[in-house]
Amino acid sequence: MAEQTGTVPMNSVFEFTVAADLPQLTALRLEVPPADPVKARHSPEKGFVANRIDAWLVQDGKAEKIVLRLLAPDSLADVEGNLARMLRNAEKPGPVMPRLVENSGFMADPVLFRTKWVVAVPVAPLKLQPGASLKLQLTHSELINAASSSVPRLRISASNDPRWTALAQSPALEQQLTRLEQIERRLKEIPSVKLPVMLEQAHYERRPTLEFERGSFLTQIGPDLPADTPSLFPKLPAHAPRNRLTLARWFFAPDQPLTARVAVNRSWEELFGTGLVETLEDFGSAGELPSHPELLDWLALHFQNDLHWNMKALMREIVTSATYRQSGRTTPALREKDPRNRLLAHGPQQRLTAEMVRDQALQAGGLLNPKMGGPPVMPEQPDGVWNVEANNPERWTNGTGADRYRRSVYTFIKRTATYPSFVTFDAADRQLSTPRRIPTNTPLQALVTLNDPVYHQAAEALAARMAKAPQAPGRDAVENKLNFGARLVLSRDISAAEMAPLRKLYQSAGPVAVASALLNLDAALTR
Amino acid sequence: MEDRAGLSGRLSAAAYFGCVALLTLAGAGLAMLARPAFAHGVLRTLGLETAPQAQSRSFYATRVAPLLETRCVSCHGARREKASLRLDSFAALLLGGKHGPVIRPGDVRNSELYIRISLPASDERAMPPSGKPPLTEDEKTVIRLWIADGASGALQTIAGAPPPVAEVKIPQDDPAAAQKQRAALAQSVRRLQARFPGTILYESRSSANLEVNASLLGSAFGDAELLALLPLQARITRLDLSGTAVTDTSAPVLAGMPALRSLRIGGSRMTQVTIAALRQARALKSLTIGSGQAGHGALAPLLEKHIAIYGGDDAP
Amino acid sequence: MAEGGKFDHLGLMNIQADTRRHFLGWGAGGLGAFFLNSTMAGAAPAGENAPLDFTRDPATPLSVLPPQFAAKVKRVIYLHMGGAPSQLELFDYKPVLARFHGHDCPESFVKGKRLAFIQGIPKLLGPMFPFHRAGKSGTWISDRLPHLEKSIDDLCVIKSMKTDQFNHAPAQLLVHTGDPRTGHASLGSWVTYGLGSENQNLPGFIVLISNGGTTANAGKPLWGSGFLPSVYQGVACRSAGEPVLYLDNPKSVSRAERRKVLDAVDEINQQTYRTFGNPETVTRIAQYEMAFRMQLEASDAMDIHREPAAVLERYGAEPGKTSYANNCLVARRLAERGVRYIQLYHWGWDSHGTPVDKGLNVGLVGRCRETDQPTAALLADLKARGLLEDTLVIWGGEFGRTPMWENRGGQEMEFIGRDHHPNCFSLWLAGGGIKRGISYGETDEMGYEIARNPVEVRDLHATILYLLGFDYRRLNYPYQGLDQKLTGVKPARIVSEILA
Repeated sequence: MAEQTGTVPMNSVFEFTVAADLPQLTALRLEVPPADPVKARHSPEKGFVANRIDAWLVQDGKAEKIVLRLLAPDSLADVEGNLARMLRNAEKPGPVMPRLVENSGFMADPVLFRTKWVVAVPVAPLKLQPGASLKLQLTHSELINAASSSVPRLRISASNDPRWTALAQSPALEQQLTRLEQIERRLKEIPSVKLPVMLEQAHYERRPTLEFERGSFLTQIGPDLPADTPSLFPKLPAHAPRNRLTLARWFFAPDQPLTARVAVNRSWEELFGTGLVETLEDFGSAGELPSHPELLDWLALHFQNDLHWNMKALMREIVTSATYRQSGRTTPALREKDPRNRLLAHGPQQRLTAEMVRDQALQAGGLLNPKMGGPPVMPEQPDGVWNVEANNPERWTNGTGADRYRRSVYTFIKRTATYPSFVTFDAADRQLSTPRRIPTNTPLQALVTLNDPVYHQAAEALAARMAKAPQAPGRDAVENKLNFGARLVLSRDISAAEMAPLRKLYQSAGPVAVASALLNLDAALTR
Repeated sequence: MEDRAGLSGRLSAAAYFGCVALLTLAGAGLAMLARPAFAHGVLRTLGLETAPQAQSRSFYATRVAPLLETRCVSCHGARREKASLRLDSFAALLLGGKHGPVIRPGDVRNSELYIRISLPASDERAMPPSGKPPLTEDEKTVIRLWIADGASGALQTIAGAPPPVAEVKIPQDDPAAAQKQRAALAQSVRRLQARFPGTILYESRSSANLEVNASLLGSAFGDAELLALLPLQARITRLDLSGTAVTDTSAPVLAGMPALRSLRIGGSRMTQVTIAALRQARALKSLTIGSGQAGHGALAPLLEKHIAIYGGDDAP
Repeated sequence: MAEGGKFDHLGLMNIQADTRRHFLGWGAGGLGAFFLNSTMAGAAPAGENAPLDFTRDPATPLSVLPPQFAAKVKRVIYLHMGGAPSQLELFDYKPVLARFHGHDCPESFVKGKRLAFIQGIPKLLGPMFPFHRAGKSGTWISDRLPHLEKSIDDLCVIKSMKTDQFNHAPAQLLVHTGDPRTGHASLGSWVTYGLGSENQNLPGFIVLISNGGTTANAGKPLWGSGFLPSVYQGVACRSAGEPVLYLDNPKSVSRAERRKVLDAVDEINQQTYRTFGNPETVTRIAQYEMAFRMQLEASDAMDIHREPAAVLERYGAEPGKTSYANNCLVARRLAERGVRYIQLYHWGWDSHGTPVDKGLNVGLVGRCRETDQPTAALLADLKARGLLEDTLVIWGGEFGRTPMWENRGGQEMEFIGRDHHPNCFSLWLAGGGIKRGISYGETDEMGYEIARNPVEVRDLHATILYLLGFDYRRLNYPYQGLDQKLTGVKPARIVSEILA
């Protein structure tokens, strides 16, 4: 086994000369074990990427290139990662495949946590004379984390088992590899977003989970722990496999006290602004107690057993309740006693979320594009807001046409440059885990709803809709338009007191100003 | 207990207990020989020896001990005694640890403590051990000089020692005292804060002094408004009238403010008349003017009083 | 143990009684509720970490609060040179290193160390530019900063800054938020949280970026509010185009028209308040009015056209463009107008030697040329206007650069550069409360390690907060079970030796 010493610059080519002492060679195995195989399973070592494997047979003073028929990797992932393609390329000298084109090459990228091996099978068994040697060349032209990715140590073994040759030449294998390529090609043609789907790892790939010594991930002591749930909760079923499906079922077991209560609480928070348990993210000892424990329990059981986890039914039930339908009016006395309305003496009064503010404006203007699904879009954003990062050359290209007015939930999010209007309205910018948004009330928000182009466009569209309002009896033309606008934005008729200032505005500044005013009312931004 | 007869075949009670006592003393004696720290501890407990102490103003107490406290005592102190060595008292420092004394007074080169702290960080025996930051050059010098001068508990200064680093004293805040000091003017302050929002502020949470920034009110703030602040004048330490409409009429008011340390009048309507009047200001330390407000002649008397002058025509 | 769905409330209450820490209320009522609950009577611990009370009228979250004790400075201007400027070419003169230029570096410099790009044994790289002593204080400085040199007697140069981060984003986060990971409140947020801002019509914490296209590696978290209420986050303003995003009305809407819209909105909102009594409505009315004022004030503050030609020339500023010079002039204007924390970022100091415009002999020269004159002009201008005596100006990067010549991937480099070096870097301070014309701290003769007076980033933070009138331990905020501080959990030292 050869071990790397010293510093190796990146993009290096390794050459090995191996004395061959078998009369016949049918396969070569290259193995790269970690330095500490036990520790590496949970604390992996630096990885490697070898893009090309070339081999020559050196005998009689000549070096003859060995044509490799098959490169058999040790894991399924590597087959899909196209060692086959690498093989085909090995026959014709050419540029090495870029790593970004599906995983390719013999590698442990970015880290090495168990022995990786690949078996190289020549097209035909090699007849070796005494004194023959093999020259093996490994080319590394990739970097891992901008540093050299060369093989740290290599063990080369040889075999003369004829079954390798048989395997390499078997038409069944060839068929499978061809079929694999065809399927991959067809997959690429399916128009869809690249949605990553989590797949449970094969058992031998699985990283063991050892107990940390006093919580330090650097010192892990045995034994390998099986997956389990906290002892405070119902146990996992005794004979069920310890996998994600079992866990998923566990969440919805009839005796599971938490899932339904947490779910119901979140729905409550959506509608009332504060959950029955205020700490949505924490029902534990550091969280808050529920304000109405019996209600919480009842709702949870009702949701689970009667509504069968149907979110819409739950929502409908809550919004049709007398509690929710209370007026939002308060009195100073009520505010004094219960400033945050935990006792639900009046209906909820909360500001719309960032996404709702935008969607509402578009909806009122009749601009909202209800299309569902598809890749994210980039609504209009001024230059210089989106900053180009050297390593992530995405660009913000303002969407065109109906793409500009997709629902807010389809807006492209980038952690270091989140869509500014959302951030201004307290959308999480993904720096921190944000289990609850904290609503604020700032002048920058006013600037957004007054001046962000999308709101101005919405105001113009709303004004146009108001102009075409169907005439209702008993109202003059102007009042009619204004009332129609109010209905679109506030879902109610306008009151006489509200009519006066709007009318004045209409006469002095025109319909777009009125539309803009409607979209900026506190009543429009509060639900 | 009852069966005394059963013991008679072996040792009598007295002999038995006598042997135990003898063995204990022998053990203690061996322990004392093996561990000097223990020996001294025993002797001191018995009153046969007094522990050496350092004087409170000595170089040891003011320079060496705090250093050891921060850098060493976490492993060589009451909580933990690595190598049976404690460094949290003068006596313990001189006593040493498992391998004997770590200080040889007057002999730096053979003082194990100094050897260890001078080792390169990569050496396994270096102190503090790797993971903890090594002592700075100044800290090593302090220890070296102290040992070289005899590891004294009395010596107060040592020539060549680097100057001590002053510790910053965070002022203790006493809200109750501040409340009392503010009481006299509290009502006026509240009233005037309501009249001029965002303009009048206490200097700090623990102070009754006031800072006034009228610059943001601009031309809405003039002589009359300044007069309104008169009730507070005993406490006003900073006053920013930049860009306001205050004129020379207010000169005597400004000159009369007893606690005023910093005044800014650039961009206001005041002229050298005011600046001349400020000669009488009792506490003024800094004055900022605008261009064209005063010639050098007007400023000279203030400069003589070591008042820092900013702005004006000399400035760019 | 749970039985049949009923949760053990009594058990939970017992646990809570034992382990509970005080917790701020959130939820409906927004900021108002937060402030109402922020003083937990009786629950606050006393002692050296006792939090101070930052309760404010929710309509004005940036209203000014007095500092804990008398402050030396009232505002901060932080000039961050992104990418890590090479201290060995600017402030830290190493003549011994010069003698060993071209030699292999000692093995101890690289063995067992984690370096960003250097591999194997690189060569030593002596200073690329000549140094000399400047001013009455005789402070060492290279020839790259001829304008700044004129103010050298006002500076306190720290040559012994150290960090434990060797890559840009975490190192920048450490410098500006006290922690190398995202999610913590930035220095500017802490300062505006603690002190508010004098001018309510402008954001209290303004960020100006130049040499952009690219921005600081860590992005917006550098001026984010982390776990502090989001109203304290920095607002990135542009010195060309709209200063604050969406500050300007759409083209078809005049200021007069905007006023009319606001009048109507205000009137209706007042009715809404009378009907529903929600305090947020009142706040919203105030915020709209503030936005209206901000449109004028921010535009005015950021508009350098109004400056006399002589001033523009002194800074090297060109109205209408984005540049560091423009940003410095805007910074002075903002300081005059009561903005509490002004942060400038200038990018491109990452002198690895690749690509060529990042080499020491090219890129660094360019960066110096872009920043030297405006920085000096800013200092002189602040001084002349009497602002320097109560402003703290800070200049620095996020780590230093190696005394070795970078050999990326173990290969010889065509251009001259240095790799990242967290062990020591240089930074200077000027302004109120700072000793003038001194150097503090020293590195060893090769410029590899600190030899005297190391200053951790948290020590710098503690010192800054002290100058602003705060005990860094008491400017804290409960989050995730901990009273979070800017300086983090390790003890920090106020660097008394640099205080006047």
